[in-house]
Amino acid sequence: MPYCSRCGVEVHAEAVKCPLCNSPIQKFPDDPSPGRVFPEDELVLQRKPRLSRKERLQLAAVISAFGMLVPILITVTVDFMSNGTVSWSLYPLVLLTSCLFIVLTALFTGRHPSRLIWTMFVILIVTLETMVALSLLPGAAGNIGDPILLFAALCSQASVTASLKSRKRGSNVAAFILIALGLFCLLTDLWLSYKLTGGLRAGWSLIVLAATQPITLILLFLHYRKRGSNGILKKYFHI
Amino acid sequence: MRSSRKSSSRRDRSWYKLDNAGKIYPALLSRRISSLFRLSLTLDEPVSLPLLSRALEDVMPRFPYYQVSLRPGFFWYFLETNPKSPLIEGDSLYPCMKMPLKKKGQFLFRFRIYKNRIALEFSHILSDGNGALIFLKTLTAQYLRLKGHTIEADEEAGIFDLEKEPDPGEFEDSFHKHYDRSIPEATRGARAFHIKGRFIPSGQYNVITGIMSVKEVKEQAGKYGVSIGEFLVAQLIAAYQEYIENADIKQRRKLPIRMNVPVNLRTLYPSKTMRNFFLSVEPWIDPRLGHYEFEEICAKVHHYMRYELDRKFLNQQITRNMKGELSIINRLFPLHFKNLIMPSIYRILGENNYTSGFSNLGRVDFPESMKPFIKSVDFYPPPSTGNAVKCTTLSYGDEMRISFGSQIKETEIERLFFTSLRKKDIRVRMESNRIY
Repeated sequence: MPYCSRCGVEVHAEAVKCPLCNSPIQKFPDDPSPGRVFPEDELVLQRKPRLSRKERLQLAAVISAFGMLVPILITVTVDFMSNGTVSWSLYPLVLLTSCLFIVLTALFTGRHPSRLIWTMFVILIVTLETMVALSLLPGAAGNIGDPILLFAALCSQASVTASLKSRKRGSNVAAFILIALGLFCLLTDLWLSYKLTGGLRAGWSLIVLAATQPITLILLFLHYRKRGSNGILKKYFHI
Repeated sequence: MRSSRKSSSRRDRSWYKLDNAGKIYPALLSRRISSLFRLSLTLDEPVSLPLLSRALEDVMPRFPYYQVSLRPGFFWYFLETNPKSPLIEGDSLYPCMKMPLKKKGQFLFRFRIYKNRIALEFSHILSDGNGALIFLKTLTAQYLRLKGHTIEADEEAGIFDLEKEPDPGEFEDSFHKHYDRSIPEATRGARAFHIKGRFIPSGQYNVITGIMSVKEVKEQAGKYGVSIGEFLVAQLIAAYQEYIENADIKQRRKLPIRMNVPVNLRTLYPSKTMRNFFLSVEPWIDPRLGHYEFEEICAKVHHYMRYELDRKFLNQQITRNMKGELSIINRLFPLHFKNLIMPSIYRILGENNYTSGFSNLGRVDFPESMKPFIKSVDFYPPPSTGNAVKCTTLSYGDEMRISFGSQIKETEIERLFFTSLRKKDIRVRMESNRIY
């Protein structure tokens, strides 16, 4: 009986291919080397060398940079060709550059949430101030916008810190996000009312709080309730 | 006696409910899923068609529960006695395919012959491997008698006495009998890893059989302190693990490798039934936790089998399956609605939860008077789309046959399985219907 030289199995006398690996069956009148050891498997797939993390990040950064560069160039060229100067294309130029920095920050500091939050905060502040300096936005936008960005960063930092400090993470993380969201809305509402009317009066943020905070309480209850007492809730509502 | 039995069966218009396991299969039937598994015997000389036809006529009255065809009711399918005589066909390149089981007057099994081989393709709607094997053995014994040999009936060896009336216990749905509604149901396993591949055209079914010595396999299994069946299950799990590692599948796409190993419940429960009576144990490993050495897999399989092969544990599975069937909501749905939703339920609760099936019929034995005429016995799994590759095995004498049935072009699992057996110094001879 002939053998498949790759799989080492005996095949039918008339077989021209191995049914397992499809290799052609070489036929000898006699076994050419009786008692030989089983051949090493040649079919083990050769793994492609994988890129290291650093190489992958660099590749992603290059792709992102080119991805942003193309629309920037198109808009600037169109603006320049039609107006003979760079005018309205400053908007997309500043915003896309800001987006590129945000993407790069996310790529390189994604594993450090606090660093990511505060770097993004700085990028957004710089973007806003640049737009004000280039007269793309009125001066008041900077005065009102900067504190709102600070509230966003502080609330994000609070939610991340609370989540990271939790011994067990589950529905409590969702609750922290909702709390941070509610707090951000409240602070923004108070700040806007202070700037616009001179007084501290919460308005629309109370509606947001009324809608989100009961869910927060349920999520916190589900997470921190006494274990093992009520399995059915965990069964249907666990995250 | 024979003629009177025949005439009584012709008048018989009785019907049977499908058993608990058989109820799901009619809804699943398609061009790719036939529910047919195959048992075949190779005799020492070419099979005579006229003699085998006569033998089949003689045998059928002893198996009235197989003399049936599938009929649709309003809520469920049922089995109605079929007055016709089953015909014997020539064998084909692709086993277990293209049989219109829902057609009126169609038997749920067929015999096919080719040269020295008698093959029985049998639908799981009717019975499991144990029932089909007894049917095939009894037919072969009668065929040999008609050829002039003296073969005694031996119920222990699975050769039924044609002069006896069928025992009422042979008709029973043993799942119903052993159902205890008061015990809690067993839980189901989570999603398991599935091999992906390119499907071959529907109507085709590829089978690869590895033939080896029971002695050599037993010797290797002994080295790991496990039985032959456990050794082969471990080998199959190891093949899947190697497949996952070689294919460089991402961590998040890895899922547990869980085997579905059917167990014949007749050895655990007092039952004479000739209908389905099996449940599955599901040994598994989780490749996300790291690489398992073969010794570790053997140990896991060994202990899983010991842990799950317990009557109390199996009672829970019976309860789970029966509660599904007896649920008033399920029962009230009309048949056509059930046909629409059952394939999805089977996929979600069944095939999704195991990687492949490994069906072990064990050691097939014949009375001494038959052994000189039987050269080999073979067993092929039913085709499936959810588990593209399935495995079956049995042994006869010192010959063990392990068959892989597949509807995909790739043969990587089969190759990994058999080459690793070969590396353990087990000589393997291959047979296949894949084009040479």
